[in-house]
Amino acid sequence: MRSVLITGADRGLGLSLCKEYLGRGFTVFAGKYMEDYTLLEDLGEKDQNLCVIWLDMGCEKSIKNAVSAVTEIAGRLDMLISNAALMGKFDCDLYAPPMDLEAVWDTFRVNALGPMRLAEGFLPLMERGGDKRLCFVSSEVGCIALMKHRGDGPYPYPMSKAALNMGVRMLHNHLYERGYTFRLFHPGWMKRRMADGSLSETARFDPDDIGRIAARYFDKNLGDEHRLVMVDYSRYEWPF
Amino acid sequence: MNVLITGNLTEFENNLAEVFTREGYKVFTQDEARELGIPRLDYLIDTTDNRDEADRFTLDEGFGGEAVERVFRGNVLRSMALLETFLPLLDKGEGKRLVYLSSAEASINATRAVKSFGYNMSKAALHQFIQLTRNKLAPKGYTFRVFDPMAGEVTPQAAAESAYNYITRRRGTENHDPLRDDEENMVMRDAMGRQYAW
Repeated sequence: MRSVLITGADRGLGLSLCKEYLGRGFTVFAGKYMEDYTLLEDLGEKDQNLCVIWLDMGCEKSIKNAVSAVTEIAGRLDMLISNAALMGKFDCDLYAPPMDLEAVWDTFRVNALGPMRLAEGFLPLMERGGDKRLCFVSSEVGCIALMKHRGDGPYPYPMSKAALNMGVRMLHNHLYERGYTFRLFHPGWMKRRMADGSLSETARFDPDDIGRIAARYFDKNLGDEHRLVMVDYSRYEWPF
Repeated sequence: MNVLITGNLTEFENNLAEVFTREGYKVFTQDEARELGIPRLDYLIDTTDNRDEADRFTLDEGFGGEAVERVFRGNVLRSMALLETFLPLLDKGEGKRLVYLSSAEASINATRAVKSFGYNMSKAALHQFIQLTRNKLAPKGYTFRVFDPMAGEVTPQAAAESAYNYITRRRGTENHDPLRDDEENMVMRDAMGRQYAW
């Protein structure tokens, strides 16, 4: 049975991806971070192939514990999906000093450094897996070229996603020749899943719809794996 | 014209200060700018460019999170704080030009690096900071330069001369073509004048 680890699985795209891969017969290791959300546990009651593990992407020790848990249960991993992200603070303004620079660091720590630590930690398990696929959920706001004229802040989230894109590029440089393949995905503006399972009304996409598209894209073998591209739900390629 | 060069430790920084002084600019260090109470600044040349030997690991060698944090704080948070500090003086100046050091290695499109996660990721974050800052400050007349001094490939003297030309010359096109004009489109150039995609 193939296996996948998905971070930030409490709600939104992460939860939708869990449902998708359970439906495809995967063993799903779901990274849980939000104590007040029980949607994952509800899903686990319906499907025994879901294994919920505590995973804080901002904490090196938490990532190591997650690696230990997956090692003990499965001993290998086929696919890794780094989805968890921190939006970061919005009140980081050059003209309203002092800027909260620790907010910039915190967002980088979770959104960019965390996925690199995750990849490093799970690499030995992925060496034993069959797929060797590393998937990262990024964002259009990480595109430096396209940020021209697109607002003047907040700083932390776009900066962290640009850094993530660079990190994924370096992983691709290092691991592609060893058989690893990569997916870098911009999901778009999705409705937020509330603790009771309902969806907010203020965004464009339903996370289940994006999850269906993303799961297919992550799982499918492509003919141009040597290229690292960031695509959205319509397979539009976003420049860096 | 008053120029602040934020560092004075490397040969490149010292050469750059000499070139600007030779060309008639008044050059200040951070301490001088603070202590002398200068009324305005025209150019801020942020030479922050931290590298760390402990950051030179591959993923197989173990991810050096502490080195990455040091480099990120040095390259990103320090630059943000510097701009915040000196922005009131720059607002009063006429030059309104912000200059940052980077490296072609930190181009997401171009890099072939497998080491120096901290350096490359921090510079990518800095590039996005500069782009967002450009959005905020360009309407007030600010222009930007991102420069790769090609350390180790070009002498510090040659890099300083190249930087001076890049920093001080207008990068516009005659007919002000917004698609081709460096002043309209933030770009990174190296000491040989080559442009790199982000």
